[in-house]
Amino acid sequence: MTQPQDLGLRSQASAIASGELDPGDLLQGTLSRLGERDGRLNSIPVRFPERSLEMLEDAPSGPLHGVPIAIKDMYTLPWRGMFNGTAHELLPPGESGMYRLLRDAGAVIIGVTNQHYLGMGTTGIASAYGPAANPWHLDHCAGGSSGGSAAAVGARLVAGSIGSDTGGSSRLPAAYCGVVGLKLTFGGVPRGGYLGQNSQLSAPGIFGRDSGDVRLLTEAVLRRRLPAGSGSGLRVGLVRTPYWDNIDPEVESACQTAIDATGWKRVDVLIEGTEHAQAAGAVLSGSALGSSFNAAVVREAEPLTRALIHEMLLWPATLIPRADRIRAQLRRSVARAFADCDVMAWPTSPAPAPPISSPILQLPDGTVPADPANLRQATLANLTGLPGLSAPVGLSSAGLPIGLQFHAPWGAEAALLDAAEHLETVTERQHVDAVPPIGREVTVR
Amino acid sequence: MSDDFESFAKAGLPLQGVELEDGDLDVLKLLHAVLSPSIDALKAADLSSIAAELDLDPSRAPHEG
Repeated sequence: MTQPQDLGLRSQASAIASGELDPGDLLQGTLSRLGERDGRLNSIPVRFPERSLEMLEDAPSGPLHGVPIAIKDMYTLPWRGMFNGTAHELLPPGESGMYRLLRDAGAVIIGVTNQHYLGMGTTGIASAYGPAANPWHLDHCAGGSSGGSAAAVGARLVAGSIGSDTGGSSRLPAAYCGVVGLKLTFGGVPRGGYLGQNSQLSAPGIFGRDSGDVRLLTEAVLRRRLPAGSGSGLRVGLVRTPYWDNIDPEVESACQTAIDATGWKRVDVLIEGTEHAQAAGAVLSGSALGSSFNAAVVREAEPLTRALIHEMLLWPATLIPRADRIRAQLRRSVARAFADCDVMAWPTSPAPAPPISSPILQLPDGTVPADPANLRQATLANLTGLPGLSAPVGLSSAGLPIGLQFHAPWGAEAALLDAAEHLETVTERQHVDAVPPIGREVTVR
Repeated sequence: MSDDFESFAKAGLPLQGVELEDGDLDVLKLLHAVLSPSIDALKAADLSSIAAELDLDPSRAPHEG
């Protein structure tokens, strides 16, 4: 028989609501599974069983009543400050906006997920907790910066988790780990107690195994219904340059095959300003960093993160208004583009997850570091404020997941979820129901 | 160019309270080589025809449409 922690988020919530599942059993089962399977995966390094039990005992009725949820190290909790993947408490304990939303929905926070140090990387290999591993191959990256949140869902340790996304930090690990990851529209959730509260690029991320689970969790944190609609008749915008350029052939093929399967009308879309989007994103991201670290945090960072901070400190402030102009250009351009399409689509990451020991990508134009290549694919949503979603669309020949990302107009999370649900239907759920080896391990009792 | 950047980094970072450690400059120069082309392109771009979005609200579409 399926163990309750194998159920998806909707099934867990409905089984608890109907009385078929004791949430106390689910909590204990989830904690046991973490103890059994999260060793090398290292996705949820901080756990507090007593606090989780207290949350369960006090949990109000709500859409997530009794359901365990993991949360990224960028949000404060009443009993734990925000560490942001470092060894230092960067914000003191307290009720972050995200904590309140989860609590009020009846959720039980089961632990804090691993993440890239200071959120400044797309691989998840640098963290005070050690690297987060990929559930499909433990020698490969989970992604970043919300790598633990994606890996925990992919490995079937939890059915839902919370991350954040300042430069693809939810969509990229979702693609690497074979789960659905949604970046919310900017500003949809109260930002208190959240590291990204000073950033105009950052938004929370929602992880689940499929679009239905992500819809449920997103409705809870947005406190509004996202009614399911038909995703069958959409017009999909393809931004060929730069987002379909220099893509790993297996990734390009899987993404193209997925779009073919949807039957959507395709529209070629040109977005003005993309040639400077990556630089603009880096400049604006760097301009908001000052409040999020101190000298000790920089000193203890691994060399590449330290170098990135040093590099950003050397950029002239005159770049900021230039980056703002690029952002304005991009926002106007995507607003115009959505007159001709309902969603835009391109590969989430240009290649599957690289090895932890060597986070570089082999792309058609040559070998490149993972971070800049990933950021090229991701930054548009952060600069514009758009919601974005990554959905699994297959496995590479090495057995690593491939993700396709969609973007929709501001506030149109429901359209993204409709698109992902349609994709799941036409692919007979083969990608969202695929379980990595670590998720198939049999628990001996 | 690389020497110019090294001098700039050695002079500029201590002014911001950063003490460079052994090996920091080598990694910084490597990273700078990756990032500087796009940053330099942003510095040099003619953006005079792009109006700023003065009332930016990233949660919504721009007013200008």
